[in-house]
Order: sequence, then structure tokens, then C-alpha cells
Amino acid sequence: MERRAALLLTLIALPAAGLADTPEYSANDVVWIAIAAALVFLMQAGFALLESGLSRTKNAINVVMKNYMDLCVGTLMFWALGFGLMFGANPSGWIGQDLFAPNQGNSDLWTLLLFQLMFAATAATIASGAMAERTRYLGYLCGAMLITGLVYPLFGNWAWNGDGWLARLGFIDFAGSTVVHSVGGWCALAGIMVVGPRLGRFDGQGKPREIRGHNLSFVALGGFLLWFGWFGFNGGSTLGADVNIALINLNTQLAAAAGALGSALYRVVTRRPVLLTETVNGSLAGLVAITAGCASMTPGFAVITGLIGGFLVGPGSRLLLSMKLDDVVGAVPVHAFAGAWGTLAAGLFFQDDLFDPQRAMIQMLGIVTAFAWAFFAALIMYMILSLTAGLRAPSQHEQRGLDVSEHAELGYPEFAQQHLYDADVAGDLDTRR
Amino acid sequence: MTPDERHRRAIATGLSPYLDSRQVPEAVALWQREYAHRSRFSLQGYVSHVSRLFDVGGRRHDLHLSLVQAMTLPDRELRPDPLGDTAGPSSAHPCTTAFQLVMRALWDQFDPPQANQVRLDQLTDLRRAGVDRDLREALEYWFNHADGELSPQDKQKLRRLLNRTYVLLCERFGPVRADRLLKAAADRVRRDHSGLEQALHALL
Repeated sequence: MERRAALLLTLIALPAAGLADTPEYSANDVVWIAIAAALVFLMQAGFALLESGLSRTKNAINVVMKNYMDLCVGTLMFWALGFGLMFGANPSGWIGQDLFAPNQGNSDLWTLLLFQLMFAATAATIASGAMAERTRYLGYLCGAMLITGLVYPLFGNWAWNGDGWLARLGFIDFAGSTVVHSVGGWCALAGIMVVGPRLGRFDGQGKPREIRGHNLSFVALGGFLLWFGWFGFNGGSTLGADVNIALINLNTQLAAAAGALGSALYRVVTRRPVLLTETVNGSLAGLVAITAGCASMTPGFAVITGLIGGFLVGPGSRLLLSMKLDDVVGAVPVHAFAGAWGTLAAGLFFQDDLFDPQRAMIQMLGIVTAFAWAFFAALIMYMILSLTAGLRAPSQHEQRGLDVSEHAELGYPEFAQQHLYDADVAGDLDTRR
Repeated sequence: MTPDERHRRAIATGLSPYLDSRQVPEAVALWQREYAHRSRFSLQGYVSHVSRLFDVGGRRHDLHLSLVQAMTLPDRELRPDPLGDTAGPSSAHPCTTAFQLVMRALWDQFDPPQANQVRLDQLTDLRRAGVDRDLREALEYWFNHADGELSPQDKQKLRRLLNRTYVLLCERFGPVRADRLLKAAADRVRRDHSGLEQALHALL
């Protein structure tokens, strides 16, 4: 944390041309952060597998395509605009004013930029799973660009820029429970409210119907990859080859395991079968929850943080269903709810200063601010996209599946399908728009 | 134009001053089903039948005269055939035929009360769908008399109607079962009417 703030102050204080003379990162630091960035990049594959596995076969490729391309457009947007808004000079405490499309700098800048690019892409991709199976490709990508270019960096500026107003208050979010995950989760919530549920998701009485994912092995594999990548997400947030990585990644591991148990515990207590999908989501919720406080709490509290994060997944999903909100992968409970809890836990379980009410209040302020900014900004953004680029796929596209209607491709051309659009039927459909 | 088609167009022309646009296709379908292959004197019986069926007995004489006059009109003055070519075995409107077959194959997957409910849903939906009046009336008639023939329709409109049916199935049975129902119906049409493969494709 302190190292991140110090580095940012250095970056901000110097003009871009001067950065080349004052690198702060050692070669070891750079190597570790570059590896951590690659691990965070791998989380995109985890998201793609998890979300694709939880979708039906006819939408499997569309989900992967969205994950693939939001990374690409998000990378370019964050480089061009988001990084400057987030980490540029920030005299007001609200918005960065330089470092846009950085083209000159030193290894410190490139290292930080590379690592933060991956974080921005993670925030953007969270919405794709929640809005899967009925969202148009173009509309979704426009949303991802605005999240990485505007919504995420502005909150990131307040919390992570050394001069950000939340950072100055002492807001703790070491690796982004709120900055990355809750912001992404609140954007996802706004997205599913605007785009509406999938056709037939709720019956005439408003009761949800089960729409099962097509490949639960993908879901588990996606969960493993995300878990693996999280060691870079949290461990890399030291922004240096640091001995604290040991505690950080131990806490990460403990919270993930406790999260899976927490979700299973909820199922057992409520006399429901223990589902793979919810167990994987439980471990992810544990990971999200520990992200804020992984560097500042002891392992015992990491277990409690992860356990409660995982426990929240089941009731969180049911809360959304009771409100007729169709979150295909459970992104909102995993990222938004568990992220909010984890941010509060980082304040409550702060090492050597437990349950400080003032710190808890600051954490609450950060949580509420993240919701108020990300949710309403995304709500307006998706409403505008809905009226312009188009967000909701036409019912004909839902009938055919978005693989055929958006990409003219099939995920499983040679397999027997439960739906109509196999390779023969989809081959020469009129998909022009 | 076949003699059968000319007769149907003449019947439709003769009936149109006395029946509304929804009744005309029904009356022409009655002609096609029960009178088209009878002797030339069958017109009298047909007029009686139509008078009873549509409660126009008071104008029976005028109706008969109108039909006789219509039979002598030149082709260009005749109204379009409400049943089109689908009435014959060699249909020139394969998309319309494929649409009917898919619908029947869908309904056949339900028990009769459930199939009726689905048809009712479809009828209700037709009024919400914003389709033009002629198409709506033709479909309303056909949904109520699905053993008969639907007059030829534009394939884009039929594709849209099939999609609306899919949406109704999603709402009533959920998307997973809706996918299976549509697949089973299309598979059956493909299996039993291989000549309609292209038409089926166009509807999907």
C-alpha cells in the first residue's frame, strides 16, 4: 500500500520525460509484477471458461468472444484514457489529469501500466457473465469500453491514486475488493436491470426457471484458473518482490477454501444439495472478499472473511431472483456483495487494531461511494447504449443462439444438440443485419 | 392459373360483398373441401351451405347471382385466391406449407387441452404482434381450423410469427423445453417432408 502510494506520488511529481531517470522498481520487482500481471491475465481465461460453462451451448462462443474482446478494447481504452484518469496528477482528489495514452516513460511506468491494465480488464469482464445469453455483442463491448475508460478509473482514482479523496481518508482496499470487484459487480447489476431476464427465465407467477449451464467441467476449470490467477492479483499488488507476499497469498488461499466451505455450509443448513456451481462461486466470493484485506489481516481473520463471503453467495443469488433479476453466473453476489463485505472486513480485522469504528466507517463510506458511483453511472450508460447501439438481443437471436446470430459460428458443430441450430441448420442461415 | 384456382378466386370475388374479410377464406376453404370436385350444379348447394353457415339466408338469391356473375369475370377482375396454391398437393408456397407443418408438429407434442391453450396464446399474441389485418385474419382463421390450409404468406412474416411462437413457448414452458419442442417439430418436418428443407431453413 505505502509503496504503491509512494511510487504514484513519484510518477505524478515528475514530467513524463523525466521518468526515465528515476526508476524505483528493481529488476526483481519488475519481474515479479510482470509475472503477476500474466497471472491476472490468465484470470480472463478463467472467466471465459466459467461463464461459457454456465451458459447454454448455443451461446457458448458468444460468451467467450465477449471475454476475449472486452480484454482487447479494455486494454486500449485503459491505456488511452483510463490510466491517466486513475493515476494521473490529481490535485482535486477526484480526477487524474495527465498520463493519457502514455508513450514516454520509464520502467516504473510501464510496469504499473501493465499490471493495472489487467485489473481494468478484470473489472470490465465481470458484467459479461451476468448479462450472458441475451446481450448484443456490440452494445456489450461499448459498455466494456466505458467501464475501463471511465467508470472503473474514476473510482480507482479516489481509492488508489495517492491524492484520491478516499485514499487520503485512509480507505483500505489493498488489491481491489471494491475498486475492481464491487465496481464490476455493481456495473453488472445495472446491466442485468437494463437488459432484462432471458426469455422464459421467470414463469407467469414470477418464479425462476432453471436454465442449466452446458459444461460444469468448464465451470470448475474456470474456478481453478481464477483461483490460480488470484495469487498474482493479490500477491502482485505489493508492486514489488516483497516478503509480505507470503502472508498475502496464504490469506488468499485460506479465504478461497473457506469461501467454498461457506457456500456449501449455506446449502447444507438450508437442506439443499451442494452444487458445484455454487461451490465454485463460493471460493470466488472468498477470493473477492479477502482481496481488500489480504495484506493487513491475520490468517484466522482471512478464514472468517472468506467463509462469510462464500456464505453470502446463496442468499445473494436468491435475493436477485426474488427481484426477477437474471444474473447468469452469479456475478453480483460474488463480486459486488462479497466485495463489499471484504472491504468492510479489511477495516474490522485490521492487524493490531481490530474493530476500530472510525476505520470501519471509512470503509463503509468507500463501499457506499462505489455503489453510488458505479451502479448509477453504469445504469445511465447501459440505458443510453440500449437506445443507441442496442443492448438486448432480438428474440430471433435468442431463438437461434448468439453464437449463430452474432458470430455465425458454433461451439459444438459436431455434437448432438438439444436445440435446433446444429451445423446443418446454422450453416447458411441469413444472419445479415 | 389452374381451373381450381380460378374457381376459388371467382368464389372469393362473388362472396366478398356479402361476407367480411375473415369469413371469405373460410367460405372458400369450404368450397375447396366439399364442393370443388362435385358436378357443375353444386353451386346451388354451396350457396345454401354458406347461407346457413354465415347467416346470410335473407340474401341467398343475391349471393347466388353474385357468384354466377363472378364466374364469368375476366381474370384481372378477380380477387386473389385466399388459399393460394397451398390447396393443391404441389404447393408453390413451400414456406407457408413448412410453417403450417411446423405448427402442427408443435401442437402434436401436447395433449389436446394443452395444444388448445397454446393456440389460444398464439391467437392472443396475434393481436399484440402488430401484423397487418389480412395476415392476422388469415391466421386467426387458420389457428381455428388448422386442418385447412393457410393462404400463402410472405416468408419474413412467417419467420417472425414462428419466432413469436418460440417466445410464447419460452414463457409458457421455459426456454429449455421451448428449444426442445422447436427442434422436435423441425426434425419431424425435415424427416417427413424432405422437399421442404429449404423452406424450413428460411423460416428458422
